[in-house]
Amino acid sequence: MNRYDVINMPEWREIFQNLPVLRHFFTGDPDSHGIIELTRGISIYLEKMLHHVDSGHPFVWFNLGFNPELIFALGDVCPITIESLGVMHNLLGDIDTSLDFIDSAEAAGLPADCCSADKIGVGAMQRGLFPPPACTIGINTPCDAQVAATQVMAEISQVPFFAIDVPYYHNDETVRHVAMQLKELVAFLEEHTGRRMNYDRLRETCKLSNTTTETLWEWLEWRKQVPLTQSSKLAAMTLIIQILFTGTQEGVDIAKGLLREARERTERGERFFEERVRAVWYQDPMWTDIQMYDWFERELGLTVPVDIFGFYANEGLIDTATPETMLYGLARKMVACHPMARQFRGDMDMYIRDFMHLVEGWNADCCIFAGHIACKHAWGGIGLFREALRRADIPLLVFEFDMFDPRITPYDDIYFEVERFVNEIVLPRKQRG
Amino acid sequence: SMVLDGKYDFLDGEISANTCDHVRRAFDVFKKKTAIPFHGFLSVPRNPRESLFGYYLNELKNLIAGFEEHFNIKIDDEKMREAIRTANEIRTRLIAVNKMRLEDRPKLSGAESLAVHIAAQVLPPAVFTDLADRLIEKLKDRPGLESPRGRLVLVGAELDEPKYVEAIESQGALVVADLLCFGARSVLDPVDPDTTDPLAAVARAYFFRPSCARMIGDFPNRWTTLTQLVDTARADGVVFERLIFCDPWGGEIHNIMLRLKKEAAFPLLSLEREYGIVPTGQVKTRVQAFVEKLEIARAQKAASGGPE
Repeated sequence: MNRYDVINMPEWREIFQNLPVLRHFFTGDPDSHGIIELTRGISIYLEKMLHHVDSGHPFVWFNLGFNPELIFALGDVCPITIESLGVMHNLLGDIDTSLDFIDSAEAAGLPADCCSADKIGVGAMQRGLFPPPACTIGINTPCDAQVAATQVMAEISQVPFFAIDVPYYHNDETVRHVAMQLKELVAFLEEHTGRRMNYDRLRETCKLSNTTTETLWEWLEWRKQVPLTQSSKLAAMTLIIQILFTGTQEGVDIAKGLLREARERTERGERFFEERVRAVWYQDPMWTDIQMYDWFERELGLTVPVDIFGFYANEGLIDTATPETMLYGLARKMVACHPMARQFRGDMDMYIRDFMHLVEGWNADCCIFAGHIACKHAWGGIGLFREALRRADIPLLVFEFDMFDPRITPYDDIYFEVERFVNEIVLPRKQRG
Repeated sequence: SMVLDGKYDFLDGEISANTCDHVRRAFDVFKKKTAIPFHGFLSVPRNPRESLFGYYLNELKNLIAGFEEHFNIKIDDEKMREAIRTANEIRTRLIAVNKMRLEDRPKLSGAESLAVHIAAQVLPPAVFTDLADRLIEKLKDRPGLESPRGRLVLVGAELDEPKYVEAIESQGALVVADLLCFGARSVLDPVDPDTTDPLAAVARAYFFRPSCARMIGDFPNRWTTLTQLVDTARADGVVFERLIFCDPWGGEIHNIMLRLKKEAAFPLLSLEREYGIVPTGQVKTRVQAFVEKLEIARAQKAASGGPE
């Protein structure tokens, strides 16, 4: 396989063709450091992938609950998140392509009620769109849909598979349990990629990861400012960075771009609309059309300073002193900080507690629970969440949609729900004081 | 909804596990919305490998410690051995029942068998073993059942409604074996009660048994178990059932279908169901079509000189 084999696949060609156009488009606003760095980062990521293909380097597939620092530390091994191509189509390309992924996954037997994030991964794998892996890694977070997708990944790829078990509890024993498995994983990766773990390289990777994390924390602090001057649609970027870029210079650059933009726009007092309502978007973003957030801002004055994909808990950085401390830090990152894995793998208390922290810290007026329909562990706790917000007297909007499939709930219905919520519930409450 | 109506408040305790997203959320509701005084939890590892067994064993020890503290009891090795012997009594009866299903003319239907397996889970052990002994005795003299239209293996997750299996069997084929959570897959071989560490023996038996699809990375073993069972049961086809919204078994049916494209190991019918509802008409229609397909395939084989 060489790079042209990849680029000539229509599903990839579209991304490679669109990305330069979008990069050029976004540089029309030279202050949009966040998006500019993100598109630059994706370009570098794709070029690296093609380089690995040309060089015949091993590939490792994994699901979105995993962070790839260990793979980067092996040297010339390429990590592939199985959901990544579908997400890129939503952000950069034609969402019809990711809808095709969904449909073909369902046609192959994956039930319609499974999460579309997993269907886009399965659909891409079915079509042979990713370079074949030397081995695969599956982690059970954040949810059972990932449990399904990882097993499909193992079956489609027919290469050695390593499962990481993340327990239910939020405690140090859980972190140590996962760290123990990461040590096993190192031996597994060495065996199946033919590369040796270089702990000095891992140290450098973890340092980059730490820098990215610290920068993201600082960025999120700037998004607490009232009014929000940076685009709402950037709120979810943390998860993308942690899945694709953590441990790389690109991850640092994207985080710094987001931070710089937030700081500069705030210091300049830039406002392109009047902020009337601030919401914590406490569920999946609208990946099929993230320009929707622009519409919310302009038409409703609704901003989203933070969402569940964007929040990155401060549970500590990776201690780079020894291999053991690094494995521990990487484990803690994945189980205690990684969006959704943190909030959903245990009981609902963490989900609710984090929300209360966000609504207070980011000066929010309300919560929007954009209920991705296949998100069972979220919907399973909606009653408790609703009760908690009622007790805290925080307005809550709940609606159903699908984060990768706009056929489920039309955009008009979502506009209607959000508009009504803002204009008829939240604003009158704010005005009543 | 029964929890919210207070129907479980009579219980002294409940134990949940991270079997799946739904059970985790049900546990949240149990804890917050019932007056049940004791809540235990098992975080069962998601992959059945040796390096994770210690975690599972520790979870069981923590649960035992919770019982002991809350109920002011002591669970020692002798009590554990006694419990193993009691459970073994149940297991041997169920093994005997499952063996009777595999005969050329099974002694009981799949629906009856599922009812027996569920009874084993819910009845006090002594009551169950007594009833099971009487049943097995009676079954010896029962003329075997005809399965004129075929023998089926039923595979899938949680199914505790014998009426569903009745609907399947109403079309003339018998469910002669199963790999269901509350069915034959739940039946372990007898565990040795006389080991030095009886808790570890029980834990090992459960942890490494034929798994539920919630166990990541174990599909190859589940496939082997299924194909071996189809062979042993001399089954004509497999019916797969899944509760709608069950993600792990959703991945499972994808993988079974993918394997069948490569191996053509058995004819397959895949059904989806909702809990508490038996859509008899739909099930009968689907099963009828499937069974006809099996009959046609058998007839074609016979016509071409192959074995039926």
